[in-house]
Formats: sequence, C-alpha cells, structure tokens
Amino acid sequence: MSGADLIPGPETLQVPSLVFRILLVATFVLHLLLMNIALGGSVLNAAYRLRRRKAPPGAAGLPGAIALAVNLGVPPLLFVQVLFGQFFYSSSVLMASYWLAVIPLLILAYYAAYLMQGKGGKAKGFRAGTIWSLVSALLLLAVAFAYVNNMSLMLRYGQWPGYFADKRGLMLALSDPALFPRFLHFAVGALAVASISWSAWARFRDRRARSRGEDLAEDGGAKETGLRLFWIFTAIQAPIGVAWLATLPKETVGLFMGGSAYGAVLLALGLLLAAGLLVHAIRGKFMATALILAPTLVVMVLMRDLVRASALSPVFSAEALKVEPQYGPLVLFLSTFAIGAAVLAWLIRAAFRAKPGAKLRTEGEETEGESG
Amino acid sequence: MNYPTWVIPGIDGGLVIAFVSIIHVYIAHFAVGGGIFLAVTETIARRRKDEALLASAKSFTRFFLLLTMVAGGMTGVGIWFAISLVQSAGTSALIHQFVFSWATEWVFFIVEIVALLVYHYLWDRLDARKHLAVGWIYAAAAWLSLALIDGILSFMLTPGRWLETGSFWDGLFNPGYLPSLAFRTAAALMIAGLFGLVAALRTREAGLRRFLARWAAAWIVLPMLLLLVSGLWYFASSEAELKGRLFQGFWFIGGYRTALFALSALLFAGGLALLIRLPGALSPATAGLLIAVGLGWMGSFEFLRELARKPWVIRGYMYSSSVLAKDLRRIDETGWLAEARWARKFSKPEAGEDMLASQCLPCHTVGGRRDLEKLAAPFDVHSMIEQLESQGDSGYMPPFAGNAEDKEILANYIVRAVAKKGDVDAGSAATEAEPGEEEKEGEAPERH
Repeated sequence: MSGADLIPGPETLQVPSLVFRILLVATFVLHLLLMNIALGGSVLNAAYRLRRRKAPPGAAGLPGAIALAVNLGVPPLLFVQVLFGQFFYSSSVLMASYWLAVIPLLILAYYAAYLMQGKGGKAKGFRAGTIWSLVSALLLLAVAFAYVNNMSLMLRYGQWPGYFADKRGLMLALSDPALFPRFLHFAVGALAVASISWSAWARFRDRRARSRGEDLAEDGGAKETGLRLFWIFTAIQAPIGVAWLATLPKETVGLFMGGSAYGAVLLALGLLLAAGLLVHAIRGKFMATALILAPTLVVMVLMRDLVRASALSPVFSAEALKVEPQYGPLVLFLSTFAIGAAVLAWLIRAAFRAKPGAKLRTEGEETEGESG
Repeated sequence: MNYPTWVIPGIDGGLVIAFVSIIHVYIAHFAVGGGIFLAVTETIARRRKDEALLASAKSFTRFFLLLTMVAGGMTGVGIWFAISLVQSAGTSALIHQFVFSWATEWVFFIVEIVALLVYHYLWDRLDARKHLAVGWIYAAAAWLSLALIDGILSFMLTPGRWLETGSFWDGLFNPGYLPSLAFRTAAALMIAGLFGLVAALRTREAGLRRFLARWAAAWIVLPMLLLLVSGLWYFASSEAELKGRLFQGFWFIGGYRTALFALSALLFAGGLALLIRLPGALSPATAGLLIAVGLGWMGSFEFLRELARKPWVIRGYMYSSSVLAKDLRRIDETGWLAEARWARKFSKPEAGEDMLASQCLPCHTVGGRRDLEKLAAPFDVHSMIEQLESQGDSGYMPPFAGNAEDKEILANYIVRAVAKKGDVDAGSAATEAEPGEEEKEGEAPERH
C-alpha cells in the first residue's frame, strides 16, 4: 500500500481556490509577524533576564503578543483546511497526541508569560520570573516544533502507511531531512523579527514621548541592540536557508533554480531583499530595514507556498478542486472584515491617544501594556 | 473511512471533545455574558459616580481577562483541534460549508481581544465615555461571535432545508438557530452572574459586597426565566423525532436530562437565596459551589445535545461513523473495504482492525467507556453479524456500512480479537472464518 492510496478525497469549494490562496498567504504573513514577536520575543526575553539580571523593557507586551499570534493563527489554519484539508487532517491524526498537546502547552506558555512579570523589584520575585520566562519560551519552541512537524508530515504522504503499525497518533516527521533546517529557519527568523520589533517599540515610545514633551524613558539600549541583533540573526539565517534548500526534494529545488520562472524570481527577490536587510541593518538604518522586511516576509511565505504546492504536485492541485459557487458568505466575511478593521483602527487610535496619567501604575507591570 | 482514526487506548473520541469543549463552552459563555455584565455595571457606576463600584468592576476585569482570554480563547482553538482529530470528515464538511462563518467570527474574536486589552490596560487613562464605549464594543463583538457559532452548532442538530439546497444561509439560519441563540444568550448572562459572585468576593467593603452579591445573584436568577422560555421554544420548534428522543428516549439520555433539570433548580434556588435572603452569606465556598454547579449544568446540556444528535454528526447528512447518508446504499453494495482509504485490504484480521477503528471506535473503546470487550462478550460471530445488521434500527447507533463480507470480517475481529473469544491470534481467527480468501497486497479492489 502506498501513501498516495491513503489520501482522502477532496471537498468542493464555495469560491475559486485562488481566493483562498490569497487569503491564506495574506493572513499567514500577519500570523507569522505576530508569531515571530511572541516566540522570538519570549526567547530573547529569557536570555536577557539571564544575562543582564533584569527584565528587558517592553517585555510586558509579550502576553498580548501571544494572544494576538494565536488569534491571527486562526484564519490561516482555517484556509489551509479548506485548501489542503485531506492532507492536513490526515497528518494531524497521525501525530494527534502531540498535536492536541499544543493546546495545553500554549495555555501554560501564556500563563507563564503573565507569571513571569511577577511582582517586580525583589530578587526572589525576579528569579521566579526568570524561570517562568524560560518555561514560556521553551513551551512556545515546543509548540513551534509540533507545527513544523505537522506542516512537514502533511506533505510526506509516503510516510503515512506507518499509521497501521501504531494508531495512537505518535508519528512525527523526524525522518524528513528538511525538518530541522526548516525549524531552525523559522526559529532564527523569529529571533530576527522579534529583535527589530523591540527596536521599533523603543523608537515608537521615544517619538510619542517627544510629541508630548516628556523625558525619554530608559529602554536598555533597545533601539540599537534590537537592530544589531536583527542583522546578526539575519546573517545566521543565510547558511540555514541554504541548508533547508539543499534538503528539499530535487524537483522542488529545481523550481527555484530556473525550472519555473515564478520560482526563480521568488528566490532572486528573496536573496536580494535579504541582502538589502543586512546592508541597511548593519549601517543602522532602521526605517529602511523595516520597510524591506515587509516584502521579505511576503516573498518567504510565497516561497513556502510553492514548496508545498511542489511537494503535493504529483497527487494534488488546488486549481483542480471543484467549485460550487456561493459568493454570499465571502461578501459577509469581507464586509465584516472592513467594519472590524475600522473598529480596530478606532480602538488602537484611542489607545495611543490615551492620556499618560500618573494613575497608570495600577498593578506594577502594566505600564507598557497599551493596546497590544 | 476517508480519514484515519486516532485510537487512544481506553478513551473514545467523544470524551476527548467533551473534556476540551465543556470547559471551553462554559468559559466562552462567560466571555459573552461577562462582557455585557461589565459594560452594564460600569454604565451604572458611571451614572451614579460610584467610585467604589467602578474600582470593583476594574478589579473584576483583570480576572475576566485572564480567564476568558487565556483559558477561553485557547480552549476555543483547542475544540477545533480536538474535533478535527476525532471527527476529521465531519470537521472537513463543516469547515467547507462554514469557512466564511468562522472567518467572520474571527473578525469579532480579534475585535474582542483588542477591545478587552484596551479596556483593561487603559482603564484609568481613557476618558469615561470612551472607556465605556470600548466596554460595549467588547460586549457586542463577543455576542456577535456567539451569534455566528450558534449557527454552526445548531446546524449540526437541525440542518433543515440545507439538506436539499446546500445553501450557506439555509445552513446558518437553520430551524434551531434562533431558539438556540436565545437559550445560549440566556445561559451566557446566567454564567456571568455566577462568576460575578467573584467580583463580590474580591470586594472588602461590606455594603458594596452585599450590593455586588445581590447584583450578581440577579444575573443568575433573571436570565433563568429567559432560559426557561427559550428552552421551551427550542423544544417546541424541534421535530417530533428529536422531542421523542429527549423524553421517551434512551436510558443514557435520561441521566443528563434529569441532571440538567436538577442543576437548573439548584442554580435558581441558590441565586434566589442570595438575592432575597442571604447576600451576606456569600463565601468563597458558596460561590465556588455555584460555579461548579454551573459547569455541571453546562456539561449536562452539551452532553444532552450531543446524545440527541446520535447517530449523526450532521443530522440527516453524515453518521458518526463518518459515512454520508447518501453513500450508505452504495457502500452496502460495493463493500466498505472497497471504498475505504485507511484500511489494509490484503489481510482479514488487519482489515477487521481498521474497520473497527473507523466504524466502532468513534464512539466505543476497548477497555474504557462503552467497552466493546464487555459489550461483545455475550456474542458469537453469528449473533454479532446479526447485531451489525440491525444496529441501525436502534436509533442511536449508525447503520453498519458495508456488504456481507465486511460484516463477517468485522464480526470475527470483534468476537475473537476484541472480546477474546477464540484464538487471540486474529490471523488464524479470520482464516477460520473465511478460509483461503485473503486478498493479497496490491489486489485491492478499485476505488470509486
């Protein structure tokens, strides 16, 4: 029995697959950004506490970042199920025990991020907070590892017949040579994005203080350190990216190397943008770096999308999915999204314009928690 | 049959879903009712310029945020994980039908999160009017997310015209939609009252504590009247078959039905006592007890709803064995093994094991709840085949999907390998049952 025999039949779509692909890529980019801040930020935060014996400024935003990363994970998870459900559900069941464990791990990581903030001040409270920060970071890394496994396993249907030897949902994609390079690529990328976000946060805070004529708050060198860490992690990404590419199936690598014009353009753009990131970050140009980062993330997500399409191409094509058109639901979503975006904009504006009153220190750790 | 089945020794899929979902559903209803509770309480406090009440509401917000956003939000994603692992085919059908319903609900979800963060962290820094507006935005977004999810939940029990039209709107606004929404809204308000007792407990000043205890108790008692009315409406609007199922129905439903009524009475009495006679008697123990009773109440309701739906995942459309109603006759003719993807067709004991996983283990276990080892003990292969043939008549088990050969393979496997009556080596057991007819790998029949 071959793995291809096991692939479940597809279902029909309500709108053409292209709509779902666009929605998937767009929402995944947003999730990636927040996930990077939450995951990378948690690791950096734990490292900072261990090294400098104090909490990094801005760390109070981490629980909010985790909440938003989870929230923004919902739409891409939804759209991936619509397009690739027969692969995704199968791989999820094959690793079900680990996959379901993601939920308690996330809950613990989230509560640990709150506990980490402790009651501040006292050495004992700080030590406990550092332990919680480590717990939170490690748990989030475990969640990321589970995700990388599922996203790999769903492409490796050749491995699926292993189910019959053990149905308890304990399969992982450990035999995939691309697994660890892929995980490292995501983890180090998360560190890079979290670093520059830290710098961005400090810059934003300074600008707001200046506009209000206040003194600049201590940021522990976040502006410069953040940018420096960003280019260091980005530089480390280069060999990891090459390693990942090298471990991908030959046919997939071929697409990037000229086998497909689209793939070759994506790879060239990716390399160009990465070089641009490095050059500007090393020269300390924050704004230019941040501006290049956005299209870089989009190109990376499109490359990932192509890797998936290539891996599944012998057995699946999203374009071939049957469509029984119903556009009403899409209109419902898009119009709600437009209204929701306006409400969010109003909320965020209200938060940024909130008066900086002295009463804000209600529970010690909440001074930086504005809006998330 | 289209998807693999996750087999956890001794635990059935329903229990996995129940564990995650009852906790989630309870907290999620609190997230809806609590938002309204907070907005109303703040509105009153602002109107009366009652600083102490305002401080209580603020302190309650932190508790509310930590419980609903962390445990509530995460277990919400958790239900999604759980159902896709336990009922992949059912989840896939729901996702493909309601993807934009869920996507729309996500918009409300993110508005909820941002609004709640702003509401909590900027309590003292936003001007009063704006802060209150943020509270109402949260309450509205939370209720709207319930209004969307309610469409999917009620659809599974009463898909109505959707069965003929396949229209998204017919599915969303199904016959059970409105009564279910009214019922869940009332439940959300009642649960807000139960947790509202915590706000009273966190208040030291005796007068305010007494007021808050009464206030929370009113939120328990008054919505229960709406619960009663909407419950009757829900029941009256159900088809006769569903009604019969709940009241003349099966012994295992009766227990949850009695529990739901008894716990409702307990909650009403507790709320009423606090409201009229004993607000001063509120203690962490009484509040904890009432909150626990509330959890039991929610659990009974959800179990009752699940059991009323048996043997379907989506009533009239997909059985709990993931077989579509429209495919049943075809599968009976061509054979389950010929159609199933996740089955080893080359060896009968293995085919039996895979058929068991797909057709039986969604509800049964070996060694746990609805234990097949015990249930199959009185049967021999012949009577087990009869049982498989007639199980669909029971009303709570889906019909067996497959032809005579499938039944024989499964009956052999259950009786000999599961109930351990006969040679435990399932290989020889099946060979005895049907000697010399084992298919070889690669000779599996063509799929359709």
